[in-house]
Amino acid sequence: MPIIINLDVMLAQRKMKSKELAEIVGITQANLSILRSGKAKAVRFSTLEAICKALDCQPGDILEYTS
Amino acid sequence: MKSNTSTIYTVLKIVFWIILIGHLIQTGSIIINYFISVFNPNVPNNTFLGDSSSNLNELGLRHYTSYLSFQTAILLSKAYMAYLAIKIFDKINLANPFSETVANLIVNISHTALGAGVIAIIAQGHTQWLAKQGFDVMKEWNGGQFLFLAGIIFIIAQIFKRGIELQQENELTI
Repeated sequence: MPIIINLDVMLAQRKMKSKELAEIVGITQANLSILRSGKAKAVRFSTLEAICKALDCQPGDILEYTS
Repeated sequence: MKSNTSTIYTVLKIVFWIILIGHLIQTGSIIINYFISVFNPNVPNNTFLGDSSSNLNELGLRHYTSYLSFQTAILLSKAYMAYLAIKIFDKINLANPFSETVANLIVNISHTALGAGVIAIIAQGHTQWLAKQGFDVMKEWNGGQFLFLAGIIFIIAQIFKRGIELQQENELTI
């Protein structure tokens, strides 16, 4: 998939566990795992907004395009 | 609304069970009657289906056997379709209805209906010839209706498969 989700990097920078992030964002750990592993087909804006709010970052910090 | 759907499901499941058992009983009676009439020609004239197919014995065992084979094949096809419908009711999960298992069952129903339609058309040709010989046999086998059913169910199966793709995409949308 050309779009990569750099959640691991942001989680490490914010010193947050994935379980904690999932609880704050309001998604299951399984769904967060799908997101981190790159298996997700799409991300809702509401979810992206919640992640950016929780990690205090921009969407560009999490999403990366590779050709 | 939920209990209404659930009630309809239960009723439909019972109806399909009745259809399945009914067709199996009919098939069994035809087979038993056939073997009895082959080994004992002094059986009553009317079969379970009400036609005088035992008169076909006069025409020869081959035509008698093929006529009853066609009837048996159609009845077994209908019973199998009822069985597949019951399996759909068992396998389907209304929370996530679009699954490969259910899609395959629907495709199987379509293929069975197609097969039944082809058999019915062949049987119709055979019985039309028998009718011309003066035998009182079932002339209308509804082959066209089976083919129509097969076509409609096939279209539904394709739409269902697209539904599976959309559901999977939805499940992978976070």
